[in-house]
Amino acid sequence: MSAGAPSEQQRRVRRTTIMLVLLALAIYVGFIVLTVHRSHG
Amino acid sequence: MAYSATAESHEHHDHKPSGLWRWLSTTNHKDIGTLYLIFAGVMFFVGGSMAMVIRLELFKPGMQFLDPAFFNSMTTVHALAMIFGAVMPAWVGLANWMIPLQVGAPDMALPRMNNFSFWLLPFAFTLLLIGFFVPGGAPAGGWTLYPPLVLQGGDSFPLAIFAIHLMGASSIMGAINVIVTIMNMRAPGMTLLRMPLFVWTWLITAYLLIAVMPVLAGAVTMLLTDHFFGTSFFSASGGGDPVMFQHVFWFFGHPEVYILILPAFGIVSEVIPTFSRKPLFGYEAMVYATASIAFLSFIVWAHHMFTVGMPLAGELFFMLSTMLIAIPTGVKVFNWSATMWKGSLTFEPPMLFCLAFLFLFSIGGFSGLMLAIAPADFQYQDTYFVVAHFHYVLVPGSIFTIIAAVYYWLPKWTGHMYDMTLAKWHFWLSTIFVNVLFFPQHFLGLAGMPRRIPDYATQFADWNMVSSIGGFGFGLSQLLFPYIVIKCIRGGEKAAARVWEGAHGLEWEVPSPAPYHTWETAPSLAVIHSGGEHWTED
Ligand code: HEM
Ligand SMILES: [Cu+2]
Repeated sequence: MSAGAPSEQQRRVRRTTIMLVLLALAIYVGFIVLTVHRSHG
Repeated sequence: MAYSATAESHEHHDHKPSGLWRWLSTTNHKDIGTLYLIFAGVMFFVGGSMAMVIRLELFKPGMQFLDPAFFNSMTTVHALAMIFGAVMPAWVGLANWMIPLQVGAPDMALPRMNNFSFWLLPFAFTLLLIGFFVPGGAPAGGWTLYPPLVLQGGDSFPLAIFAIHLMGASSIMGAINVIVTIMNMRAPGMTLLRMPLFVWTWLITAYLLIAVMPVLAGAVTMLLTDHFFGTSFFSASGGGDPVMFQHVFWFFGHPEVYILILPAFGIVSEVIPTFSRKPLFGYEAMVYATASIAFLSFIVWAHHMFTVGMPLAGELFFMLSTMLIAIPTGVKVFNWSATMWKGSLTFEPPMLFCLAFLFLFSIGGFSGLMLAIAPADFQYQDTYFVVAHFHYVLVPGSIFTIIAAVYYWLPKWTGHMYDMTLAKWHFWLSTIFVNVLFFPQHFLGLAGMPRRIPDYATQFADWNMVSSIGGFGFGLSQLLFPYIVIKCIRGGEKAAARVWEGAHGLEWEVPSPAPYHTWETAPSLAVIHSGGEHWTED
């Protein structure tokens, strides 16, 4: 990989990766909250 | 050999460290693909030897060799090893090897994460298998981890939970890598609807993985805190709800079974056109059918829990939504058959395994439909009928297509043809024995034999003996597979770039064996479509 400013492709790769990581984390937390809510609510 | 355009690529060739360090530190998609495939192969034999132990104990009624707790560990760890250790890593390995080649990318988009996600797996499975040597023995509550039973496990319980977290993290990273690669790294002109179906089915599988692996992680985290930190998410005595675990688990679990089978649909959609010498019938319909199966897989989970006492409306909803899956699945089977119709068929080993898939996976689909009928499932639930169902969809489904994929691309990977005669033996022995092994289990289940038991009533003796004989035959036949693969790695007739005359796709434009670096300059699809040469060999 070349140094210097990231290319357009690298920027898109980074953006998609961050979105997907956040999605996975949101599902993890969301499901725990949902389960607690449903089983004790 | 040289690229059509760049001289720069020359410098990269063979720039790899040697020895162990190469494999520990590699970020090359082909190396990592190979690592995943080797790991999957090892776990296939680890899980397979446990299956042999199970069939040995069940050969005759009465307790012969094992104590019951160890038997339960065998079924539990067999399933975990096969699902998370063999089938899923095999698909990720094939994705690593083939997706960059097929979409014209130089590598996966996130090569260092790729290395990390692979190397988590040996740690995860070491933790899981250490369970056999700790007080209380390996996990024995079933791969479904239902509380309260699973909370009664010994010291292996936290090890297993941690192992599941690691494999989950590994699969999520693998899935992110696949999506990011496909969405951002395709060669110009490789539009979404020109992608090979293996790439399409993997893209959809990767979304399923990201959607449900965190759900499993959440569920096992809650088990862990219930066990060690005094919470009672799933414990009725503390105000929690054990049935809630089943809902959360199967919200993961049903999409999980499609994670195991969707890439298989991709392989079949590559292999059947090649050996029929015809383009795939209904390409777009295949893409949409895959997407609808993936969508439906999120709304059918409670068909695994018909007997827990749901309201009638729930039983009906999950029964009917489950039956809907038969429609897109039928579209697929129709399209594969239509692809072969009037094709000029030949029966090389990859094609043979895919044809067996077509027939035997359908048997599994039909028993699935039977199980989906809620009132009937009250009878079938937790019997060997369920065991027969899921082994028909998983062994001739996922395992056969993984074998087909290896026999399809092995010459591309190694540069050598393999021993076709032996591979055909591998096919015939596998296909005969898989039926001897699993078909009688339908009869046993319908007659009422429960699953997950080390002993059984004498009226089940005959078919269990047949099934065990089939099991030993199947297990022994699989020893041919590593023999054929290793022999092929060591040498053999030289493979052409386009190994099979009917094969289409970018992977066949690069020489065999595929060089360490490929598509550093994106291929031009225009050149390929006009029949031009893309690679030239010195
Ligand atoms: C053709 C559509 C399918 C239908 C209608 C279907 C239906 C069902 C039903 C109703 C059950 C629950 C049976 C019970 O526990 O009483 C079940 C179990 C199961 N199915 Fe399927 N299935 C289908 C396809 C698949 C596929 C493609 C796979 C995997 C490749 C699969 C893997 C499994 C597994 C592993 C279980 C057992 C889980 C366990 O209890 O351990 N099924 N199926
Ligand atoms: Cu299911």
